[in-house]
Amino acid sequence: MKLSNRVCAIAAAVLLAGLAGCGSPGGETAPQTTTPASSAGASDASGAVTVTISGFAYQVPASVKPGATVTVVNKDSAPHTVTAKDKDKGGFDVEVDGGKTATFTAPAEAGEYAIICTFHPAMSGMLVVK
Amino acid sequence: MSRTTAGARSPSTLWALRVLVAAGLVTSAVIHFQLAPAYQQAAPGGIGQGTLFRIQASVAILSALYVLARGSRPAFLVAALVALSAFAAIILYRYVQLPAIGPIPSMYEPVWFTEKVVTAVVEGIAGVLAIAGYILLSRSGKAKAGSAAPASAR
Repeated sequence: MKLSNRVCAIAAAVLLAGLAGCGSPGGETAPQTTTPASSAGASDASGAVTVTISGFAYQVPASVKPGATVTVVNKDSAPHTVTAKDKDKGGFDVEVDGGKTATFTAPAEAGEYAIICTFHPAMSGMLVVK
Repeated sequence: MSRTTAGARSPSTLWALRVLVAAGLVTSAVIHFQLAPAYQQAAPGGIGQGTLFRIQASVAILSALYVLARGSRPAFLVAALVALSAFAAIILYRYVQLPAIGPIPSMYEPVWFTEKVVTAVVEGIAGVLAIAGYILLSRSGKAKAGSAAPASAR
């Protein structure tokens, strides 16, 4: 096989792999993990809390208990973070890859905590702890 | 290698390049179209990142059709410009925190993920192959001119 043909064959393989990777919708990929939230931004009877990220927006429950374990479900294909805007207040910062889940512990002190995505500054929300 | 051999190889190589460049551009376009709605929320300033993604995707598809239909030097040149400008934009906004520039919003995103990597790779490959096609056509054009010169001098 001549060199140019070899280069073309390799490039074709890479591009075909790229096309194959386009099969799933990019904006809001379905979660690939086995622990989806029962509903967006929910808090169930056991005190488990879920923050859902979809379409570059947070869906946060009305409130969470101090010290509660918060599960973050990222339904986007892009990774996001749930980060306390004021680093001195709250101190939580969790990164969630696209289609994955992660958890963090809510602050022990009651209060309102502004949250942002450090990757996408237009994303913001409020976590109420009480 | 003789000119005859190179001339015989060029048509199939050029066709392969045209198809591969077009495939890369279409792949980039599909991903940009898919990501556009969500990214409009990510950077809504100016005309919005989603709108920019749709513009890029439309231009990529047009240039893919152009290079498939014509396969001329201008077609390869346009394809290279479209692919490499998109590639440069991905790299730039991955590593440099640029502010909003006129209607272009700040699109800094300091993270890689699958779709972004695939887009960058296919755009880079498409850009390089488009340049290769352009150079190949330029060389074959010169070779033809060189072989025609003695005949016309007779």
